[in-house]
Amino acid sequence: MNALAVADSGRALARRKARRRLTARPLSVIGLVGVVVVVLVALLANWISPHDPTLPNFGQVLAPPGAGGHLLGTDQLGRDVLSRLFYGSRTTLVAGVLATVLGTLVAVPIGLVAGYFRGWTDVVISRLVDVVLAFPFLIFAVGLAAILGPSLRNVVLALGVAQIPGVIRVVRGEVFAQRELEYVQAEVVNGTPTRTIMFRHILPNVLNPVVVQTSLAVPATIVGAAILSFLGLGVQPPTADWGTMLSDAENYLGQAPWLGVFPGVAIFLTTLCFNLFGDGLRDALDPTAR
Amino acid sequence: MTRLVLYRVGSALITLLLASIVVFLAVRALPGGPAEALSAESNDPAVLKAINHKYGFDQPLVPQYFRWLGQAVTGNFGTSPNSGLSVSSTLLNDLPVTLELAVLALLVAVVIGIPAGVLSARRPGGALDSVGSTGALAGLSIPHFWFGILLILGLSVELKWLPAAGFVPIVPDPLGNLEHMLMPAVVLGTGIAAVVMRQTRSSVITAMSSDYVRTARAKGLSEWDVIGHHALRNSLITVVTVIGLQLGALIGGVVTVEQVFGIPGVGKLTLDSVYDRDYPTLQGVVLLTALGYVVTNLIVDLVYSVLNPRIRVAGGAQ
Amino acid sequence: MLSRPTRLIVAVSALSLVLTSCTASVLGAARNAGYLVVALAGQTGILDPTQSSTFDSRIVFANMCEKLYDVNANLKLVPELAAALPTISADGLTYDIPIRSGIRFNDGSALDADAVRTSLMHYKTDALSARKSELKPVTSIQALNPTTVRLHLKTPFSPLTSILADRSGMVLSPGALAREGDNFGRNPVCVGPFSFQAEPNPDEIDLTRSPFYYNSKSVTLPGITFRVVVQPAVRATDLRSGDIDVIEQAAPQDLTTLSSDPGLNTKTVPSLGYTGIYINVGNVNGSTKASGTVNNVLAKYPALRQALDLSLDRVAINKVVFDGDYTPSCTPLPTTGQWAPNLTCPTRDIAKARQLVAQTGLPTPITIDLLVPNDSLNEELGTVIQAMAKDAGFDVRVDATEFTTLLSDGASGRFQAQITGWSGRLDPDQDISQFYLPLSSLNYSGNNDTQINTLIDEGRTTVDTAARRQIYRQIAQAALAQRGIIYLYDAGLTLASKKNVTGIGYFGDALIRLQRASLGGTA
Repeated sequence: MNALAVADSGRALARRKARRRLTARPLSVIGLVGVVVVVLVALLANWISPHDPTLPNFGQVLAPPGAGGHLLGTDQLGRDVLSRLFYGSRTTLVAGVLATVLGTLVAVPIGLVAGYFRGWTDVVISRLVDVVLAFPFLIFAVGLAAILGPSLRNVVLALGVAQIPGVIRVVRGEVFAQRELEYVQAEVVNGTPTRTIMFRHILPNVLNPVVVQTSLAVPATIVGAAILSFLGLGVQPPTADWGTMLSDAENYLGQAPWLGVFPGVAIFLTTLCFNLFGDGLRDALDPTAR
Repeated sequence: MTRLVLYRVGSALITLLLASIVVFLAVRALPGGPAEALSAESNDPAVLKAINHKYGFDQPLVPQYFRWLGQAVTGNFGTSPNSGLSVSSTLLNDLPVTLELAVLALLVAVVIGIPAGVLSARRPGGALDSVGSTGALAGLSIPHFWFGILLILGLSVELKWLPAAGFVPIVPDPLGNLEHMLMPAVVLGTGIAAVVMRQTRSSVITAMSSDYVRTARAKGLSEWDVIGHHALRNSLITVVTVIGLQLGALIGGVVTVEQVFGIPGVGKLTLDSVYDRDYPTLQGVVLLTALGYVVTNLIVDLVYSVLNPRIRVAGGAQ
Repeated sequence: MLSRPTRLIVAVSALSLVLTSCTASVLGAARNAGYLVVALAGQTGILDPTQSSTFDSRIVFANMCEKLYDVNANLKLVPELAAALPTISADGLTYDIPIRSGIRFNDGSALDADAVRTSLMHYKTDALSARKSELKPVTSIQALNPTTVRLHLKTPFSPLTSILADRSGMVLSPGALAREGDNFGRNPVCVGPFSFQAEPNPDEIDLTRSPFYYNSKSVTLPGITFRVVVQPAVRATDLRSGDIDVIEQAAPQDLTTLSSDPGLNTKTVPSLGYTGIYINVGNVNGSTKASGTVNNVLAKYPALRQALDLSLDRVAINKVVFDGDYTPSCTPLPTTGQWAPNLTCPTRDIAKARQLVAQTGLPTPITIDLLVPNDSLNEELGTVIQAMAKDAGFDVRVDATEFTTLLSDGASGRFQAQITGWSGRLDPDQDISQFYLPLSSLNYSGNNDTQINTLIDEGRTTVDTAARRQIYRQIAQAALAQRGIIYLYDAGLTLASKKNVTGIGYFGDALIRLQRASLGGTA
């Protein structure tokens, strides 16, 4: 049996073991359930929302929770808070998940190249990574919003770019390690083209840490999206968005404190569920990691 | 060893240089300049031109950059066209405020995180551990600007225990200073406390199963001695390393916390200078931030590589 | 008991804490006892009346930089550093301003006609001066004798005295000016009850009582600390918690809480300025270039502007967004005082609006890209406008834009419609001419209406106040019909202060005068 086949069958066994470890921990299952709930809410927001999230109702401004058919009250323009929470999950998920996934997709090939070829390629890429990390992220996000105008697309862009350095580093580190292993050396001796080695052989083995890194990055990106919206750099009004709802609530803390509570709880719970699930995933895929 | 240090220092300098070039170009790509930012009430084109000329913003980019660089290495970051104040004096004023906030936040993180981590590690999987670990995850998940708003709602608006926002320097009024910094420090420190707790927990767990500690137990030392002195001491170094690495997250968090609590620090200055298109201030702030990041990484890298062999000998981690 | 590494950590933390705080307090401003703490809504920018461009700088100047003229509680012009109102020649081309004697600048040097002349010339000629356009009609300035200054004008210019009651009338110490030049703002020296003490960072300014002030007996406070607190909610909370003594521009949302607080006083004055929707009717190449045909459906069809106007309910906007605390308005002029035109603003008429839209034959909904500043309140305003205009067949897209980008877009004409405001001036000409005369840098809309242009010229060259009132009323009516700017409201500017602060002079210009203020009782 050649080295490759051994590696392949080993991987399949590891995957089965991982799945078992994942489902064994109750907290990570709760996390997964939470994530699924949020995704469902986002998909079904049209059907489960009791009111139109963007239609102002000037007669019922700042109604407290429970008043007049509004379970969580209304905001400063009379819009139903519950419906806005449901619709807001869309922008949160798009920003959080999409940005992370896009950033990862861009970063993995770069990390592969840096880790495999080393030498000057690696030096240049590493310095660029350092510069991006040393640069205050918010300046980049604000600048982007200033040039292109605040929008969800720019939030995704800014957050996606912020993901790239971290993933590059993880992939690069893994590729360093994998490169020296027997099965890779065997392929090199055999004369297999570099591209095949990198993408067909090394990449699958690098995926585990990338998946872990991504799942841990999603909650941070969700909070990052909320921060950008909170600073006025996110979606345009009247689109419902949890971060924007919080920044609006700041003006009404005295009159309507509940406006500042519910969107924050939504962000908190969503992030917590992603964290719980991500933790479980990390433990399952790599139980020896700290 | 010397070659390692030189290589690291060299890369750090290159990073700084690149960062300064990036911000120099990026801020000039934004619509409107400092003159336009000042033009809300009066928009005389001749005056706008004169402002740009006074600060040299109308010069071609390359000599403009080198002129700035030459002055920056001597500590002269120029004058802000928006406030007329010297950038270095504003930085000198705002930096200690942010540093105080950062140190207080780290203190909060350490005071909460390390004992929590130790307690969780005593019986992994036990009740205390579950509570502690979930608490840590909660601390990681809470968006700190929301946490800040909640604290303001509860402690300032409702209970009136603490002032909502603002800042008072420590010397004439240490109590006032702490009153103002307490909530921001707690908000910033919570996320880091979570990381510290988890790191302490795993380091102590690993350390506890090492030969070194088993010998101590065999010698009949008390539980406290074993964990407190032996396991913890070895874990502390890795914990400190992690704290150092959290500095990046700290810098990011500082901006929103300073905004929510009205603390006149570097974070707020950064945001303001982008909105004002205050080229000299922004360039100075970014250089400073990059310097902080680079220096911290350098120190952490060097400390870690020096101490690593020692940890292995003690039979601890990894 | 603590292990060595722990002790080390604690020691380092404590040391760094002490070090950083000491540095902060040594380099920072001394927090002086007895000083009145005032929270401003925005940064002041450069503290030089020559270059100053913000409303909040005028609040600081009101306490450290007296002017030739000021206003009293009824917004009537009164002499301040001048001895009397100017003597104006019959043709309106010569102004004789008597100067008071015995007045000293805050550096001890004496104020005389020469000093006044130096300041005025500086405002007229300095490359960075933002006052040039205000003093354009003044051709020469003479110091006839130590107590008289004579201004020669090329055309009559009735706003001049009002202009001398603002920054252009602030007299700068010639010695300080000669020494500092364009850096005068780092250490400004004028005449005032207080003098500049320190500006440790752009968010804090300290003034100290001046021993040179001619009326120093009336000054009680040892000093003033101005702090910039941009969020209104934070200003209100700081006031209620006792950290701050006086705040300006309290938000409408906080008004109920503040006015019902037994420890606080509030006073609201309607702004002299306005907020409205600027529509790009002719700005093709920038506000300072000739206007032309713009690719904007609102420019091509004036009826659409009328339809938009008719779809808005100004009273409801005021109620929903501003808690009813502002004043709905449809003119650039103030809604109270001697210049108020007292026009009846159009009420919402959806039927008429729809009819106007239908008459253009354009397919509905008609898209309008409305730029708004990206803060909560303005975004709310945009959302309300969006909802109201929808009923008439408009699809208003609210485009929250960062503030400097907004200004830049406005000046260059890169917009279809934007929400902008003006803080207002004493003379009605200053609320109108810069926004309607062609080639004016603040004429974002690219207005070039012949009737309005003629009336503006008449208004600023007529001397008789009653006649001027009529002219400005006509201008207001013409502007209402032309709709290059759809005016929405005049903000209510609320001052809130602790009950133990007395003697604040807060008049219709919303400047905070603290000369006679005192901090009594429990500080």
